[in-house]
Amino acid sequence: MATRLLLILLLLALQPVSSALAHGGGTPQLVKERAGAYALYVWTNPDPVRVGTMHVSVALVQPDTEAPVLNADVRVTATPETGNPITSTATHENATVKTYYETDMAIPQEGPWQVAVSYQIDDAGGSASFPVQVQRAGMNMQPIALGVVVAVVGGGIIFMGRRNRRPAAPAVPDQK
Amino acid sequence: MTQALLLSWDIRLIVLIGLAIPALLYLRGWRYLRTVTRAQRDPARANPRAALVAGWKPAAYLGGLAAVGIALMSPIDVLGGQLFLMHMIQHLVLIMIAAPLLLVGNPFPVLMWGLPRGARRKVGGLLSGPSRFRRVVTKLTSPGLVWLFFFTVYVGWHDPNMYNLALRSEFVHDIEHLTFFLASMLFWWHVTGVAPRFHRTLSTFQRLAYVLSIIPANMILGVVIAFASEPIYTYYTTVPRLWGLSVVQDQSIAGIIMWIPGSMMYILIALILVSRIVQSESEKPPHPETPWLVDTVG
Repeated sequence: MATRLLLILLLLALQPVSSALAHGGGTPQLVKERAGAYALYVWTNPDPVRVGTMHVSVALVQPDTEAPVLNADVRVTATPETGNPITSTATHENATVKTYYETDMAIPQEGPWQVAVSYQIDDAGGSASFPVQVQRAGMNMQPIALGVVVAVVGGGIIFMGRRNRRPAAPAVPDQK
Repeated sequence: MTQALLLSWDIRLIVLIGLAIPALLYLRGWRYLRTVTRAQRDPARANPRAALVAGWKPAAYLGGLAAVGIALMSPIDVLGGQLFLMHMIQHLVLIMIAAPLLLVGNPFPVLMWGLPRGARRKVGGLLSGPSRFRRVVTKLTSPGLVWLFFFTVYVGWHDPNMYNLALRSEFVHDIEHLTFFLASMLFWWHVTGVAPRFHRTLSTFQRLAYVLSIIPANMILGVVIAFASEPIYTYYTTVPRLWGLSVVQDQSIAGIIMWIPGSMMYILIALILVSRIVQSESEKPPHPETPWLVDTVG
């Protein structure tokens, strides 16, 4: 029973490895880009962006002191070269760094995309954008690599753990 | 802003479960050993298990696990992406606080007794007697190789390319922390001399030399970082600055943290070892007085 419980806990622990995306970091796309009265920092993850989930982190700061601006409505719009744009709201609730605004976007197709980040505070607002080349969905190699490592290490331990089964050499009688 | 930053926790299931499993096993093993020790209490004979179940040991072990949790999930971790000094504190907590605390709890025998019987037998079979596993592990974890591994990991991850890569990719960042933790556990394992004992136990003098020998690398790295006039880790130029600290100021403080408090921890351990040497010398029986000395004095 205890062994099963341990195995279940281990499997649960490994599960999020396959879906982990960097929160509060990633590839810098905009660095202190002036947009209206404030400045924007934007990061995307994974690198490169692939068909599937794209994580976007946004920091809205005062341009001079870089103090975070926390009360904005932040929207992220991703537009493909051909097709409909996708819009998502970035919030502090989705963010690990609570001074950032973060969101996950489902990117359906590969090719060139334009990602625009806009904010609104009362009557003021601003926006900035950057291009992203979305690549086709690839296999996520991280859980596979982890599985291979676990298999190799586990196999090695089992192999090495086997005791030598050769019978011990008979003791040499004392000749003296 | 400060309140928002203090609420920035990165609670990760993999870390929580990774901490919960050893905590539960340790408490289970400790409870079992304590029950057995109490049942076998004989005032006439010293019980070797009594030292295993001292009350401070689970406190040290659980404190070590808590230190790992704080390093990997608290604002220290989250702010490490914006402030190099926070990232440095995170590494020092993992290397200098978590690993030694875990080891002074003497986890191996207690965890073994916390395992289910089948698993305990299998692990015991792996680690005892003539198994290949034990032979290989013994060779791979010799004090010299462990020192080299610790040095390589410690210095290698401070290469700007490696460091920037770790900040951009969470996967690489996790590998960085995993290798830091593994290397420090192995390093402090030889210093503390706790089970499992695969190698000849180092003498106190050897342990002292082992600890002192890592200080120059730590100090040189800290000084280089503290006095650099340009940003070494360029990732920090792409994130908003906090509390008005420039990238170079942040870097200088991080270097000083590595240089002074980082080295102080090794020196503190070295002082504990020196006090042990002095204590063991003072407990030795006095040399018999030589006759010529007695004559001279008399």
